[in-house]
Amino acid sequence: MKIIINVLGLAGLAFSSALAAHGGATLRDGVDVKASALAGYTHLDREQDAVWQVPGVLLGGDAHGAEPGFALHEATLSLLAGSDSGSFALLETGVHGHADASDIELEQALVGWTMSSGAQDLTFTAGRMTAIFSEEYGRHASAASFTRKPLVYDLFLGGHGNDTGARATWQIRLPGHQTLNSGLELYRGDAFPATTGTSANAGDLFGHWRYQGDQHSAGIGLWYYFGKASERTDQRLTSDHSHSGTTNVSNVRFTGETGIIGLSGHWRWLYSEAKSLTLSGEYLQVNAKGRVQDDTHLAQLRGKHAGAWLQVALACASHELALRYDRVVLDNHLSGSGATVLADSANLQTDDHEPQMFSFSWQWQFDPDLALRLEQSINRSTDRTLSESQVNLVWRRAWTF
Amino acid sequence: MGGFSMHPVECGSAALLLAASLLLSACGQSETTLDEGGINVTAFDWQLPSGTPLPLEPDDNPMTTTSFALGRHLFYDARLSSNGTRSCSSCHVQALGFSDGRVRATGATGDSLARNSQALLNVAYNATLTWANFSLTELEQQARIPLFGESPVEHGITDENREQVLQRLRDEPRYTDLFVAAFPSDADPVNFTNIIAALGSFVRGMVSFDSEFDRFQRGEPSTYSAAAERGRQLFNGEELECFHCHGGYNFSDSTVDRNMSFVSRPFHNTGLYNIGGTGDFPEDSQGLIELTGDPSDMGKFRAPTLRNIAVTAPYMHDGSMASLDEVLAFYAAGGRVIESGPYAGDGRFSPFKDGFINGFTMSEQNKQDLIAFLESLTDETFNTDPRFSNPWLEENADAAPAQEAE
Repeated sequence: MKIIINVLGLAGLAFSSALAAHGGATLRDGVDVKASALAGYTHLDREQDAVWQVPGVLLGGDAHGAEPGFALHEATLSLLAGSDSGSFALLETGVHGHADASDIELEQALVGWTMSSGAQDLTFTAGRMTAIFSEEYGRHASAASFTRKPLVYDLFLGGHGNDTGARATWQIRLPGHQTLNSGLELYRGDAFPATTGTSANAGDLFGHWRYQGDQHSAGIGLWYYFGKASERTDQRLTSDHSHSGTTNVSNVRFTGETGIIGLSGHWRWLYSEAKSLTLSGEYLQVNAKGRVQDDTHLAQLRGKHAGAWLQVALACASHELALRYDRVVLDNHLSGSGATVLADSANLQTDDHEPQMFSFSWQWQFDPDLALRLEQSINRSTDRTLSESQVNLVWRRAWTF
Repeated sequence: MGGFSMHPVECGSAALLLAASLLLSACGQSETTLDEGGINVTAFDWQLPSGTPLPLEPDDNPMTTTSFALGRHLFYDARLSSNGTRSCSSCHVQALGFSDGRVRATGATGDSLARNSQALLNVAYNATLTWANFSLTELEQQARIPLFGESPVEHGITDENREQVLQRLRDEPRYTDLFVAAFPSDADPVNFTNIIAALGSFVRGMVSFDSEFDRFQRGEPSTYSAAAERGRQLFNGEELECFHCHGGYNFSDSTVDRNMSFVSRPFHNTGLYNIGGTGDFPEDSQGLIELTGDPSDMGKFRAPTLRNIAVTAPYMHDGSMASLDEVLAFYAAGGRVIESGPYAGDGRFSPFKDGFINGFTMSEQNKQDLIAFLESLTDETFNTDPRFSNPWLEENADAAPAQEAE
């Protein structure tokens, strides 16, 4: 039986590690090309809202709700060129398809240089990049167990994003198959929840510890993200706004700062050559402080949000079963004359609702490059439960030159 | 097959995940709390539906029930004019949504007013008052114009007859209690400062949110029809663009309330005139330019509320359109063409016309749907509400003061 566990159970980690490697590992002289695609059919048990709005949080970026029908969820092509001198360059284009946008985007275009000294690597990278403060943030759906990102990423970080900036990472290889990778990233602020500014409007600090044993591997990540926003609107509403209410929700703007602390962990037990159990999860705590306004109303917002996801994945030969639970708690305090109006028009009334999602997936890697993925989710991110069923085909391939 | 033996750090990872879950559970429940800083404190019973923002109250004339009651009596009292022929209600008739049904009203001495009498409802929410005056933001300012204005004369009160008018009010026994109740600290409360304050309170208190559309929006029993709903969707659509100037809960882009921090006071030229292709409006009423002197303000007027619009004909600042049919045809054409006469010109090509007046295609069905929607904005409760009706009639018909002599 063909063993493809590395593609399944730890596919995501492997891919993220590769991305992280662009900022940390010494690269060989040559070119690596990677391509992926994920497409399929989604069935919803009821009509989805025109725009996905989770009560209690200002959404934005690329956070899209489930959309019924056939869709190309993802298609990426990356080209990594390295040299023995430690310099490297990465070019990555991608499509993150949904109903109203499926344009090809330049996701990453970066250059970097790694200095190695014994067990330590110091890497500097600059350009357009996907941030690596969290392994989950940059993970492509084709490399994960689920097509949808954990709820906390959609709600707090706009799903995924790319930004222009610079990164410095310091990787230390410790005794006992352990590595410690820490870094600092500073960005212009193109990605939600920040907005582009004249100075670094977004940045992060992170530290990732990993252990890679014969039977067990584990990792812990701790990160802090900050983003400054000025008059940030929900760009998802640009073509969907309506005028039936007293305030046009697309006119709602946020100006302020968002700070997010993340704590992640994973543990994998390779029970046998063909069987493994992976437990992973992450906790995010968000502090958003600033002002919310529309054309006529103004209020100060203090948002204290928290959320977590927990995932269990069982892999057996070419099959993987995964379960994920997402839960978010949203606390908002609005003050000022526009508090009541904006709480409604900006969708900041939680009505004591706590977004949750239960997801299940089965993935069958029937070919080295192809996998069939079935997913079922009970989406309670809004107060109307939505059942989502998906059948997707996943294709991933790598070439080395 | 491998056995199960965990490294301490692996135990730590699992424990971390467990701790994260527990930590989230300990965060409590989602909650949104609001603190409006006491802006919604009022001593007056506005009788507004839940969720409706309160209008502003001037610091020097807070709303009171007694001031509102006095203002109601004064509003309907023709003794508040030079010759006892004009009251506020002469041009603001409750059954007509406090408009008067005329193209232009006449004052106490026969002067013809330059503009159509505006409907009085939700005036408290107007960011500016009258048709085209950016500086009039409070009713207490505005009330001086009809009372004391000389060109044109409306109530006709002058320095010469002020005392005579006040004496008439002092002679009315019911005013004694009403003035004292409204202004208890004043030794001689019958004065124009208090009269204006009371009129301001009454007109400010004339709020309307009980149309069929409102009731439908609140989920209450309503005759709001499918045609009206189709009309609403057209109204709010990007093709017709109506909502840009007549949007929001008061159907006017010139709206203010206590919850607002930024107030817009826009004025619009809708292409009603374009005399000789110059963009000019008739000399007697040219809009905002009369105050600013800025040529680009030619023909700019405030977008009035559309509440009660079906009962407040004729329309436009000069009352030059008799029906909603005519108004809709005008907007569909993107301006008015006047073929001949002193005002001849093609308003569609006015250089000062608002960018949202572009014309649109309107089927007969669309028109009927739009009219159904506009008619659903009629507030019959308001138009018959005893709180706003003529108190002199209900209290003692025999003692009712003289009304307009037309």
